[in-house]
Amino acid sequence: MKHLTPTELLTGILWQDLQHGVFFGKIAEVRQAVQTGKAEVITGVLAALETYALDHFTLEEAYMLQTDYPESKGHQAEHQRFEELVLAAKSEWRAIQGKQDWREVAEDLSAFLEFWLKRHICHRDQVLAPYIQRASLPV
Amino acid sequence: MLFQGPAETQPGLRTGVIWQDHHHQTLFEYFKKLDKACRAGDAAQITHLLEEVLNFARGHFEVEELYMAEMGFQEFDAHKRVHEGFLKVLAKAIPLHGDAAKVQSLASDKLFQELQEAPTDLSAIMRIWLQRHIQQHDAVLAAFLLRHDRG
Repeated sequence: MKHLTPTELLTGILWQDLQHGVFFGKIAEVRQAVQTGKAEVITGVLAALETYALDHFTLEEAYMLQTDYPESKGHQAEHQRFEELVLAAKSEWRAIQGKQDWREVAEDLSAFLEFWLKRHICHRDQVLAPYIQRASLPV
Repeated sequence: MLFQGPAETQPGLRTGVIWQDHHHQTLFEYFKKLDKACRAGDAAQITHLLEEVLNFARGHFEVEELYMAEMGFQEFDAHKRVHEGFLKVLAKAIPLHGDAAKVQSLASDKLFQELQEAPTDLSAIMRIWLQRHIQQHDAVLAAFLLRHDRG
């Protein structure tokens, strides 16, 4: 089974890499929707992101709790910020729906999601993953 | 401590694999919400929850199947077929436009016929199905993963 997480962004923890791949898949869906003119796809992606992010973040935070991870505060703050940004994006998307420049908003959204995700994986998840592995937790 | 929470994920239903127990707990919580929505006859909420359960279950099964594939788990095909059966029932429920009676009547689907306890509500029988699935299939997978330090 393959997932969409770029090799350089793998953490080595299968569930985490697979779930990151789902995020990248959602970004690809947004870009595809811009190309095909299917604005309704964006609404579904934003709803899915909200649910999926909550699950993914809660799971990472469960591992942080189990391992007394020292960087958990900063890591969780980024999760919370992302959730707030997705909510803001949903609100903005509702306001822009039906308007001619929706593609521009969708392109900005995909660029933001990609930037945030890559940065978060590099700066946070690739630090957390070896910590979990060193803690001898099954991963 | 996390994962000592709801009754559904108490020791008998905990596999010891953190991500797996976390996902199971979330599924049990979805079933409770679905039951509540069905009792209230809230069609929009029923449809929304069914879609969420389908998406979440699909994601959860994908993670399990990825581990099975990566680790060469011998029961992979059989376990995957069980997952597919469950997803098919959910896929049948979504086009019912949130009609609580029709959704709940899917409890009579052949997937659930082998369960000794047979509630007539889909939300209740999915909970029992998941309990059995954890005990009969996921526990075996979890033991395999834990033996290989993966979970």
